[in-house]
Amino acid sequence: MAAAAQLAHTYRYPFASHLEEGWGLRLATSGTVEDRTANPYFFEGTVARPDELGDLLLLVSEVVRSRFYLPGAMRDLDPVVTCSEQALRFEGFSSCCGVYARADFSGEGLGSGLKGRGTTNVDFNAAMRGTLGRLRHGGEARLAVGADEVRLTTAGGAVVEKKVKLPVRWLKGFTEVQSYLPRLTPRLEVPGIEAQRFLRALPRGGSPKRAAWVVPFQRGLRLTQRPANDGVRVLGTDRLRLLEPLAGRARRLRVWGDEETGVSAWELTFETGRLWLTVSPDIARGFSGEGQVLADLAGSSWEGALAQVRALLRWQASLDAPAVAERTGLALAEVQAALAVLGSRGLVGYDPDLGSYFHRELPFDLERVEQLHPRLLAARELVAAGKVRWRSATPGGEAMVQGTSVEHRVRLADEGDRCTCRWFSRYQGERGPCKHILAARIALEGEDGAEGG
Amino acid sequence: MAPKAAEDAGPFLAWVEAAPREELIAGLVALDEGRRRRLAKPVAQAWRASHPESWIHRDWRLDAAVAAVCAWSDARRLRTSTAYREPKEAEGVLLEVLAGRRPDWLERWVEQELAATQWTSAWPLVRALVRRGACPAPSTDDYIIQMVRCRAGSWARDASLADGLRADPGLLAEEIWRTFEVDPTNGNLFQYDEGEWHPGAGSKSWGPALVQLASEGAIDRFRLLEASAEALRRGIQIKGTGFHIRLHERLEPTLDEGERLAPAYLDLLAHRVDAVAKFALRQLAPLIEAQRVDGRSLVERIPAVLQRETKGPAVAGLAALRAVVGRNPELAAAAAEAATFGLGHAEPEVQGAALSLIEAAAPAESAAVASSITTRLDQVAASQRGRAQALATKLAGSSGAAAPADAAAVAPRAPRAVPDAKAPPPDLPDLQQLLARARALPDETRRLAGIDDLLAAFGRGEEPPPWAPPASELPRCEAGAEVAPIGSLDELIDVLLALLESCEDSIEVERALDGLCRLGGERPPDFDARIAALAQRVRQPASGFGEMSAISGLLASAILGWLDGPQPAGRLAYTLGRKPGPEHFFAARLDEVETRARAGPRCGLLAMPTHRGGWIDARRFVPRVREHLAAGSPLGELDLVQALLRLAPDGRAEALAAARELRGTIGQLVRFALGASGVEPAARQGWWAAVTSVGKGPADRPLSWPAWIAAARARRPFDAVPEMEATPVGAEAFAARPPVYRWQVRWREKKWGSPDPSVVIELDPPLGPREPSRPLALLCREQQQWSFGSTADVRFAQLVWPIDPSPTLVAGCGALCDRLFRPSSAYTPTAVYLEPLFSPATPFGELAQLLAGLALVAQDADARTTALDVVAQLVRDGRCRGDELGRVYGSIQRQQGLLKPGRVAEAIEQLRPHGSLHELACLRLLVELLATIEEPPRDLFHLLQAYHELLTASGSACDARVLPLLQRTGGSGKTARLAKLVAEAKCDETLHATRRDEAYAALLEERVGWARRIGEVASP
Repeated sequence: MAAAAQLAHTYRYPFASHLEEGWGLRLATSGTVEDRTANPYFFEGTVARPDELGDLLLLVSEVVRSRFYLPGAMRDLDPVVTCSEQALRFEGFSSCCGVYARADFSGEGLGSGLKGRGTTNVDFNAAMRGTLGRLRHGGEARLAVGADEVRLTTAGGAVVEKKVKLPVRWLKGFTEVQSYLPRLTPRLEVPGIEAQRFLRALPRGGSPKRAAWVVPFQRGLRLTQRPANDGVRVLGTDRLRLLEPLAGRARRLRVWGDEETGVSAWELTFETGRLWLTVSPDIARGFSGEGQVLADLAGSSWEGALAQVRALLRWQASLDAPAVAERTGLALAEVQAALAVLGSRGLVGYDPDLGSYFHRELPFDLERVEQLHPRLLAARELVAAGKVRWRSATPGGEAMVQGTSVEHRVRLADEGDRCTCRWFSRYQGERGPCKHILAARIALEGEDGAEGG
Repeated sequence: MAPKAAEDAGPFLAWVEAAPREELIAGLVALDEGRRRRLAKPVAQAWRASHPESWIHRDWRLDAAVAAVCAWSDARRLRTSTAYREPKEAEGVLLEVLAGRRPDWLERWVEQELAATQWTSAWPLVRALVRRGACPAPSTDDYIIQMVRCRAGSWARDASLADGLRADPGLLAEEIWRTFEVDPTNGNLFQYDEGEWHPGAGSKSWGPALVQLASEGAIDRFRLLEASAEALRRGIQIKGTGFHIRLHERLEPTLDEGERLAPAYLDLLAHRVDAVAKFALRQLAPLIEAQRVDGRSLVERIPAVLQRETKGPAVAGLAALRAVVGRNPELAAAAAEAATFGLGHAEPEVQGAALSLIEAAAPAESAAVASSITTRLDQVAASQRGRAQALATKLAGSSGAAAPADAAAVAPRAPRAVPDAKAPPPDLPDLQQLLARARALPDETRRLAGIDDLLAAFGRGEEPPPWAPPASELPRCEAGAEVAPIGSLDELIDVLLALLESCEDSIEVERALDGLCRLGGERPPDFDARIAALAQRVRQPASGFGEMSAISGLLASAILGWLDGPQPAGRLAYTLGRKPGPEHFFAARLDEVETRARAGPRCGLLAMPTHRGGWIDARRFVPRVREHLAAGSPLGELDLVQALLRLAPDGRAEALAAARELRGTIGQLVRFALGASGVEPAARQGWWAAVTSVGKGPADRPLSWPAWIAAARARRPFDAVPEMEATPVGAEAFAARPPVYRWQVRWREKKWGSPDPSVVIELDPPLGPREPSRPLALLCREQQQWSFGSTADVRFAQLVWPIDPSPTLVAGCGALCDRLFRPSSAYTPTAVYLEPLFSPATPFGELAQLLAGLALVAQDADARTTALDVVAQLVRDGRCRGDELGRVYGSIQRQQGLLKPGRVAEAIEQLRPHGSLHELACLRLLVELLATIEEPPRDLFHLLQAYHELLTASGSACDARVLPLLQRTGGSGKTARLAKLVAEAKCDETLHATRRDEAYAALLEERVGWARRIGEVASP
């Protein structure tokens, strides 16, 4: 098996993030994709609860440095920060591609320190992480994300440059996780102290290998291996232990779930912010390769809308799809499809609590990564090579699509498409359509378009 | 000297291969740049041809030549030598050449080597290059990580680590301090040093070496203390905190040093690792004593310690608070408020200690402390709650600040009149309604659900007996659980493709077999196109099928048989060499299916379930047999055996009436299975239900004894069948009577490895021949082959005889014994064996009790989580009272070390919140267990604590059978104190009666609900 493709990336910080005694936390920002030399200056202001800031940032950092399954660990990865009006968000993704963390700080808790908008990496070095715990005590503290020109030129200190190799799989997962978030619905809610009890009661020394459900129990939650309609399915409960140090100090825990995909999100709410931990359906399954967005990408409902929607992006903390539709004159479905596609390209994120997207552009050169959707590329190649053959004179219904050494039978139906390939047989559509189904759909759409035209 | 005719690389290479060591080194180093460039390509070619990747065939001479002449494009493939095979003369050659040449790629190569995962470390070579000035010390973490792991190169030498460090003072100036800053991805830099702190073994260990060097003054002692504290504070090397803790403590910081480090210690109180927090408290203790630490800062930070999961740091934190108050009385009020965080701890011991501190330190009145206690009251254990409540009320004083927002949640239960034991149940509205609903049920439904026995016990004021569901009478064929046969060839292909990936749904396997029988002969014009993908898939190697399952492999052979012709040899691969098991039965059934498919007209399987759970509705079975006979379809005996074993209790009378029309020996067999009298079992000679019997006049040919055994078990699954006593198979298990299982658990010595627990189960009567025709015997695993294997194989086995899971429970017990002290395994699942116990129709017999008991205390997380659900259900519907599990544990605990009291306590902690009924069951469990313990075990405390909490919560007095153990618990420690407390626990009549009534109401409600379901199934 060939080595996974990787994207070379360089973090370049004008100084190392640090806790300045008597002042507060100074976080260094890296150059953006477009301009590697500039170091954005996003925020400088007071933080009402520095202890919560420290706790949440530590957890995001821990997720970035965590690996819950076999794929090789990556070192020296840094979280991503997005600043928009009234919101500061820090995102991290585990190297096993199965855990996505995001810490959101709202405008009220941040005072009025907004200096700029945008997305970039932020330096989380070992020394800084070690001092985040000191934010726990004392009153208000200051936070700076980036630095102004004066400080950059007078502060001195060495430039921090870190070269890393980002696997394509990791990049894909980081972008694809956004396609799951709109599907989540809130299912359970308990006070923080009960959340802590539940997390502490999780099995130790190896989590269950079978799926479990988190269900309401007395005032709290418990784990059961009996399927439960009122529960949230989870596999790989070790990953939830990341929340345990924080849960006791949170106001509440909300558990979001999507029955169809098995993805769950765990939201801890604090006084000044909230933490999201989104976990994949299985510890051995990352968010890449899940294919949830492929059906959207394969279709063409978004193509016309994409440019218009993208033109409206201005680092908004909340992108209301109906409002965008009204403004652009596009159909709501087109706008939603376009936003889903933008999410898959790392250009927007989704906030389940707000029920809307927010503008954020991942600071990686994703244009170069052609392998982001190999299944879709393969499907298009099949169509282009004429390897989709309809079984009836009229396209639609049933097609034979060339596989590696055999033709696969694809049946398209409203109640669910089917294929005879191994991928479909194994996953029964749970991980998105196979390339043969995608090819048939693309071919059918092409036929429909030709007829319509 | 290297030959000068470098245009011809031949002589050069020959010289490289033959030159003596010193001459080789000198010659390579002396090459000028021009010659290097000319020689680079032929040397690289020769080197590549010499298999440089193989550590067996390495050619150190060519390695040196590459280092001497090649550019980065080739040199980047050079690897440091593996010491295993390197001859003595090769030592140091590469170093000399690299140090002499100093190629421009050296820094890159050094970083690459340090980052590579190798059998041996590149560090000694790299360090030597650094010391020779050939390259700067790498700034990467790998340099430090490798230095630590190879003991700064001393592992390869006789010298101790300390000697090695002394000999390289540069390490003491720079590299040593970087070890406290590096954070490897596995979180543990000194993982091989954790246990090596004994002086004798310490010569290569980092800890003793650093301590020794510090004592000599070779390194700055305070800087070492500071660095270890800082490493902990940064949270790096999170899995290796033990090393830093031990290093710091072995340095024995003085009071002055401790005072300087106090801010770090205070920060460490909030460390995520409990051991670090405890360490910080130990370091702070003498500082508190000497008043060399800011007490107020400590008081502010202690709540983080009190909220930890484990008990140790919390207890130590409270001790520190007490010490602070002792030295700084002005901080008493603040300390009392901080101590209230201890009330949220899960351990009653911590809560009790917190209350003691609050009682001692709090002012006479303190609204803040009172309020803080009140907000945590619902987390306080039953044994401490009264005390906490009283304290909150006292501290609230006249302000009344202690009044909780939800008074009902924490107020003592309203007193109720003590019921007269002989009187009807108390006048509780909910219980009365339940009784009315129960009495309104049809008589038969009430009997089947055991409600009459329950009501009778209530009436007598007695504890209800455990419910033994009449499994052979309870209907199983629920509406909505019907299994639809496969309807088309396309559907058959889809199902087969899915089964090749996963066979976990055994019903789908049966549907597939049935589909093959009925539809396998269809050959539409595009048949080849339709099955192309399936044909390609099934011809892939067997290991590619879904999971490692005998069933999936056998099924694949059946598909090949369908496509290519019979595959007995293919199936042999899955059964040959394996001890007899259910897969042999499945393989024989597949042979039968193939034979039938070739023989003629196609009817489906007799054994195809009509309902989920593997059940066959007898009312549909009889028409199925009739259809087979009418069609002249070959009848497989194994198909018949399997069908009989799956007959559900539903509709037997109706089915028997319909079966009167069935002719021949088949008809007699079916009527016998359905309960007809006057049928005498009579079989042909021989044991084997041979496949050759298929196709020879189905109605009248004599059947084999295995078929009659199956019919006997279908007739009376759990009782004796006198008609079989006098037959030649009468003495066999399952023939005339079902076997009785006797078990014991003991430690098993092994030739290699440590002993492990083993379940020994004996059957009476003993098993007969374990042949494919006798599936029930095959289900009973022999020892040393406990597990059925994958989930698919276990579920298949469970579907062979769904009415009695006992044979598969035997395998489950053995599989669980294997996982008592091991984590979950995806390849040998255990939780799946517990699944049949979820159904209230499954009796909770001895084997089930053993299985559930083992699973509750297993380290296997899957088993434990499922067991909690199972036992919760068993208690809820009354099959389990708790004392059964107590007796199981009582037997197991006699094998010393097999039962961990802490795990039992943990299971109880998770079961009791389910309700009053579960609380009672946990009490009974503990009483049975404690009553059997003769010698108090080391961690008896956990059991006593659980018992104490249950007694307090339920208002019960200590059971007299437990008193002897409590009296034998001597000493003056916390266990003895707790034993005394437990022994003196008095009954709170009111609370006890209330909890008992709640429990019985819950039980009755569950049973009434179950009765309703039975009624719906029986009369849809």
